[in-house]
Amino acid sequence: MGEIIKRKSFLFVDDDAEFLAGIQGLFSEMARGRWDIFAAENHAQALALLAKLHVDVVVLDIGMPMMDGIQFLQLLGRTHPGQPVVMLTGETTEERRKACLESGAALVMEKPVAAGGFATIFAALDALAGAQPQGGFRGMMRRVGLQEVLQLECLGRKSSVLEIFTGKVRGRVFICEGSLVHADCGALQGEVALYGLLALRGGEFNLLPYAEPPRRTIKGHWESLLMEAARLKDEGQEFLEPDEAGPGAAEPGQIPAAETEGLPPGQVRIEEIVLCSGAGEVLYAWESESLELRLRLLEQIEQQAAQLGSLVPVGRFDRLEILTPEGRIVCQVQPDRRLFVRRSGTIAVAV
Amino acid sequence: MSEALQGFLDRSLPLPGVVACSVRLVDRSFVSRCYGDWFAPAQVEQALSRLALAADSLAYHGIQPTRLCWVFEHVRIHLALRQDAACLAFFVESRLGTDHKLEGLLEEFAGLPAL
Repeated sequence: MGEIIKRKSFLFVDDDAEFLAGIQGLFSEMARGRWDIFAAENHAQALALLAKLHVDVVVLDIGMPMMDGIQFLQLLGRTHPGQPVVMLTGETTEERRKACLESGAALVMEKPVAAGGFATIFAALDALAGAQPQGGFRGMMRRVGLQEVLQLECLGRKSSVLEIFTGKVRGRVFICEGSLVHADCGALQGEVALYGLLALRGGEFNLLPYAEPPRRTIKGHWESLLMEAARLKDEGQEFLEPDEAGPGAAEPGQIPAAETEGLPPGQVRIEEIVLCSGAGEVLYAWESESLELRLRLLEQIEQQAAQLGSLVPVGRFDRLEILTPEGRIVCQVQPDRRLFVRRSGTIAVAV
Repeated sequence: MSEALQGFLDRSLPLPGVVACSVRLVDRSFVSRCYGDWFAPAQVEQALSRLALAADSLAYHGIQPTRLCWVFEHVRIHLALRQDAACLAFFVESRLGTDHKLEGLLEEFAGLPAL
């Protein structure tokens, strides 16, 4: 079944009509029909457009007459709270950058001087637009291109603190003049914290002005570190490949084995996994065709268990095990996590 | 209640660890047996109604259950569903490892002639 790709929409606001025309042409070509690009030459035009349509990201030039980009950013914060805004400017200083971030900008980027720079901006905007809260999911979930954000900061030799948070995880990555110098996440520090944060599948981030970390725990070039993070993330996924999952990969069952087809008796295969934080943010999803449906199922089970608990004194709910003709499903709902695992095949019942 | 079901319950119960058992028949009436002070029949019947509803709701998610096990801190509730919409629930103390003994009973219930 083909995946339906959501179109992304952007509003570029810049008093330079030539730049607007150029960027519209270039990004339209790069997006291959996946982006809707709107343009405004001043804040009045931009507000008129925003009154009529919703855009995923507003991209603002800082240096504009009448009302500059930072003033307009602050105005948008009041008139369109929650609207992601990226500042794009030809000349930035650390002071301006700080002002933009403090006023709510998601990113501050410099207008590229070489063609390659536009590709970086395109990737960052594309990732940011894909990071919008997903409907029906508590307004928390974001698909975040953290790699792209870090890449952008490092390429631009910027200094900032990337604060990343999910319902249960909170971490920071310190970037000093384009180098990753420190990361922490709970008790973890250094590279291991960085890799853990980059392996998160969802969450939110803030780009804050740079502050010196308690100590510098990361050495090495940012490119190598990001490549290593990507490699580790990939390895984590391979670990759960279905062929790797033998009978020992499944937890002991309290439900007896079912008559199943397709696999020899005694063999099981993991077909689907969804792991969420207690707040419902997806931490890991594998082979799940309908994530939203699974999340709704876990929520439904939690509610049904609570209703049961109010009828009979059964104690805290742990999980629901479901036996189907095809195999077995485990839905675990704990305060700090929710887990859905579907497997096919039969296993000997462990007692 | 059919003789088959009566015989099944008489043969099977009481069973160590099983604190209650309830069957919802096709006509939506209940046959329940409770052991000890854990639950009253009305409680387990109300719970079984909810469990059956919850099992039905899984169809919306593309799941066709034949058996379910709700695992709570103190109690496990094993539910067996029949094609004719009758269902049985065993309420079992979680601390006791009696689940395997229930397998045969759950299978037997599913295979009983008309209840």
